[in-house]
Amino acid sequence: MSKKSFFQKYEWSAYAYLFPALIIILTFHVLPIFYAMVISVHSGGMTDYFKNFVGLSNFGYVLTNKHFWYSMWNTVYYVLGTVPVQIFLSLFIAILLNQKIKGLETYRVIYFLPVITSVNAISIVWKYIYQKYGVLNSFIGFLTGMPGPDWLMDTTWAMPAIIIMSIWKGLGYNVIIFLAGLQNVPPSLYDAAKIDGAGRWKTFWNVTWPMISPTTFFVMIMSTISSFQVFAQVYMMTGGGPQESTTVVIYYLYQLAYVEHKMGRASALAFILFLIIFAITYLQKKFTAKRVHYS
Amino acid sequence: MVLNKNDNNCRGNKKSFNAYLAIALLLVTMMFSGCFCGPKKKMPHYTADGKLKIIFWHSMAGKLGEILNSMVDEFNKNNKDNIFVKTEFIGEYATLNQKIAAAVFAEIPPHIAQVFETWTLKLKNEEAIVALDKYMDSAEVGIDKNDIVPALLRNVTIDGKVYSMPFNKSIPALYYNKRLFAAAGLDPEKPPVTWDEFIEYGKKLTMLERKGFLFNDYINFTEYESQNGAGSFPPHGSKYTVIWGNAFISDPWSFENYIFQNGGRILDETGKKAMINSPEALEAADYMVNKLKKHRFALRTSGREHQNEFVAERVAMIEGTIVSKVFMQSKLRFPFGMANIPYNKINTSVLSGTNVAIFAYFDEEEILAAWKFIKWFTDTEQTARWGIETTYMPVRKSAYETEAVKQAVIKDPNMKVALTMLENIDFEPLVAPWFECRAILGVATEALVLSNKSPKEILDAAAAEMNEVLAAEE
Repeated sequence: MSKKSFFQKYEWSAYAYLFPALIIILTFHVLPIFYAMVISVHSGGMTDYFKNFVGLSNFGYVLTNKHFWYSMWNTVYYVLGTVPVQIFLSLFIAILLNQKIKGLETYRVIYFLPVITSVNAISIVWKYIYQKYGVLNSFIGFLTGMPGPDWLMDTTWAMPAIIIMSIWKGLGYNVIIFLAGLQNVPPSLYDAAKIDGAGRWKTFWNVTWPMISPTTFFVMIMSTISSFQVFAQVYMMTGGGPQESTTVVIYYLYQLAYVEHKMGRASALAFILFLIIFAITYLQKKFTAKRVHYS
Repeated sequence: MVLNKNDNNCRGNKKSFNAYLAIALLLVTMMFSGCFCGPKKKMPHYTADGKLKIIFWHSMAGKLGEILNSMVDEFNKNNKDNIFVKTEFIGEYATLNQKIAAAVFAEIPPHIAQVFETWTLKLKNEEAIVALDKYMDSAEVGIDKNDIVPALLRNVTIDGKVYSMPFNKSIPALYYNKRLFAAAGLDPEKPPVTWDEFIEYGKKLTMLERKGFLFNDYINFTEYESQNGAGSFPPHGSKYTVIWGNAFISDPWSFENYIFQNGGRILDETGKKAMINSPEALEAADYMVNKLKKHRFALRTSGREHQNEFVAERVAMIEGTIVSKVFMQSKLRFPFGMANIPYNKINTSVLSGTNVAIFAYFDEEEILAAWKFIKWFTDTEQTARWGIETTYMPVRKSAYETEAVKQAVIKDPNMKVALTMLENIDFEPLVAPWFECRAILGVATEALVLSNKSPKEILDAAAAEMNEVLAAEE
């Protein structure tokens, strides 16, 4: 065996290709994680985050704070409100869009438009829609003759209002992912099912559903993670109110960091949220992974 | 066998090499970021024609920004000290606050920025801003401190030192629709002055409209309710439209106004004890809540919705900052009046708006240049002009006596609210954890309107929570 030179020995070009991405990931993802970890065990002011070493007391503060538990509950409410509905709705729409109908491209564009529109712009428009005398309540009044709720200013309705908007906004993305999954199902399987005399429902349950299970799994994991991090809608539409009914974890974190300037506590909260999301993702993977079929 | 072994070795090397590479990259990145974050001496910047550049971060949007920029342009053209002030619009106040926090942390703040009193306190504690007394009292560039409106001077003084100059200060005003006043049989030139009058007027102004005719009054409106159930109102899109006497926001700002007007306080003198559950505050809470719950002439809104409803003539009276005039008046298709907001015991209101501070980390030359600009902007002539054009309060006593201000009030009587110097002005407590306290007050204020608990219960709990926050601050 001939001795390779140092440069021949390793795939330098591979590292060269990875370098730009690595720099970005290290600077904006990895480094801040360590940085936040250091901040989370300190307390300090606006100019010096590291004034005093306080050990784990920031974690203690967050975990014993009732506002944290409110925000946790609100976040769970939001996640349970958006993720399942979004999965089923987007799968349903994807199946409809997977047929040979006229104007298919137009429909796909319509469903994808909210995804590429800025969430801030959408939030402002929906804020008007949800007003006491807004479009939605005019519609409800016209249909039922009853006044609709004061959506964003009512502790009962504010979170559902944000959930409805978020489902509408995020739907298109999941529809596209499901469409890709659906189009990867080999037509031969459908032909075989047809020959065996399977109806629509049986075909879906025995062919489509198992074949797109990796897609469903992906959508579930990704939308759970992103739903736990919901912020912009809340910031724009309700500011966490009324009476903290829409204060989600990230909104509370934002308040700790940028309103109260308690970076240590905010970083501790970020870590707690990270652990929670990590645990939930792990559980989701553990309990659903065996049902996922990779062809 | 031998070959295999070699292979394994090779793989092992590669693995550890990868680890080394990752660590090396991490170190390189840390070094890079270290270079960017480290303390550095800032050099003064000059424009192409050799003028000293002063950066000014502000939050003056739209029309206000235009007025500010035109005044700054004038300063840049006419000043003899070779100073060039560059304004940078940062966004709303909350964004400005975040950006200042980040800039101070990175030690790259602007020379001048708009700041709220609580930020001033925090920035002062971090030694990020400079005390202005030295410049105010100096023979060459000083100003007459006694000419600053006393309440405004008190507002910017911390431990006997001045850390910021009053810049765009505002108070609330009552806006009312004269056309609807006449339709309800009220004198359009006599706005309500007291809380009792406000309630009386509010009831009269709550009307039902059908096809452009205002033919129902509050009595008939309550009749509608008795037929259709308490709390019901004709839905939008039905044959009736409700015109409300008042639209209000249940936010800390409104509540604070009412507390002060009723002779109450928010914190006691030591700044360590919340007073929001005092008898005066409870009365103020009743006044706010009863507009909605007992007298039922008010629409609860959020954000700037109440202004939109006022513009659309769906609401007869609103309370808002005097500066809203600039944004609303071009849209108003009806005669409107402005007055001080109705009070109960004391004719007072809460001061809002920001001051300007000069940041440390700069050479003496730059700080002096920044001060010269602030001095120019707040001198009698400029502050009068700023007041007339924006409706912000002029900050100098002498400005209220100028011919320009007198003419402006004659030309537009609604300017009287902004351009009359006030006897009584109150402001939010100057304590470092005020933002936390204000958040607690905000939740409590919403609870007053939304929850079924008694105001006493709500405010007792909020006061206890505020006391805890105040005690925790060292």
